[in-house]
Amino acid sequence: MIGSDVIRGYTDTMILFLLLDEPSYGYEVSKSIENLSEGAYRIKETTLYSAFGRLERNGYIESFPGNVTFGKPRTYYRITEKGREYYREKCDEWKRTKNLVERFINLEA
Amino acid sequence: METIRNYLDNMFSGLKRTAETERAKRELLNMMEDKYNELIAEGKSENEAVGRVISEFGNLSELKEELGLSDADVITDTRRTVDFKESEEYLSSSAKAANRIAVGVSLCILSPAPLVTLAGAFGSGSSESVSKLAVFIGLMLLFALVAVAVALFITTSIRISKYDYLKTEEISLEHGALAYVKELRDRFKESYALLMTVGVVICVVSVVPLLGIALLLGEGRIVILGVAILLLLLSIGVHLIIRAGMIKESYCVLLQEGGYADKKANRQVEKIGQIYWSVAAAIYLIWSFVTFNWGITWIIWPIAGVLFGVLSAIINATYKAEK
Repeated sequence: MIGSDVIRGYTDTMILFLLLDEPSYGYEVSKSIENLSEGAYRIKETTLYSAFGRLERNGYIESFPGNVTFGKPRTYYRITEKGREYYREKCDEWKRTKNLVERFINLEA
Repeated sequence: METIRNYLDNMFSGLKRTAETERAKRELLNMMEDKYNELIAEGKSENEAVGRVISEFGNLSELKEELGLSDADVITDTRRTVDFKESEEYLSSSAKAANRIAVGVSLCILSPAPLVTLAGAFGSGSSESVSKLAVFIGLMLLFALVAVAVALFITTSIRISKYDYLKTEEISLEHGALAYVKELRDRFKESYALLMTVGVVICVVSVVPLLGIALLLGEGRIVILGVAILLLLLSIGVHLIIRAGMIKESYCVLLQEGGYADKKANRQVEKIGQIYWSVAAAIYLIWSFVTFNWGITWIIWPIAGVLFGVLSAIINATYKAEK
């Protein structure tokens, strides 16, 4: 079990990672997160939706109406250049965070 | 699918309709539908799929920024919030508890049946040692049945006691949980009516075999058989009534309806109840063992039940009057 407080700062990173190669939509992103985490983390719908909104307002992703599958128009999201830059920054930040916290970790304690 | 749509409607019902809220609702519904369809395609049952979609929905307060709402728009209150999972756990624990308590009560009602039957069959006419042995075995069975019942009562009350706060504290169900519980309660209404009706009919009819035997075949040992059938039917009828009543009660607790609207009065009723039921059990046992009239002493329980209902109604009314 992973505390949601810890994950919260990195849901944006997860979403951007999944958009690096191709645009995607809500449920696909949520399913990919679950699959990649091998079921250890399931993102809540409200968390995902608010993350999309935040990322779009900051100009990291763009939304566009996708093709109609099963008679339902889906909103797709694609990553912007600014988003890729932000993603790289977040990766770097995570590495430094990990290094820092790692110094205080003793599994034998 | 309808349940999911209702759930979302409920979640958004307290919010102003703006372009943002409409968009959020549409997008969230899309995601939930996708998830629901996939779960169904995986072979999950409708209930399971709806349960998972709703429990993984999240919290509306996360959307404050998205919807352009201030803190004041997202109502904050000091009551203890009860979420979907908690309600679900409480309801399933209550259903199990209802079953165990009902079995326990049935065993109590049935407990004198072996004694009555054995004593009747090997009473006058049998040799003294045989009839003594019959009474002995009957008593042992009686104590064994009561012991099992008491064990059921105690273990069940311990298991369910972790949910006491639902009855004694001010609680507020999350939007989704509220919609879910209400829907379950509405669905239970029919089963409730059926269980209650069948239970009451069985209880009323339970004396018929005894009366029939007494009138048609006259006095004698055969009447004992009527008493045994009476106890058996009563135990079935009361079982149904208790189960239906306890399940209905668990919905009332969560929705804070009926006697569960006033928590202060409730705490009082609970305290008095503990003493009350111990006294009732004592009276039942003393009366039964002094007179050995097991065919009639069970009447304590329905009378005690009705009196307790009156008592708690009075307590609730006095608290309401104080307010």
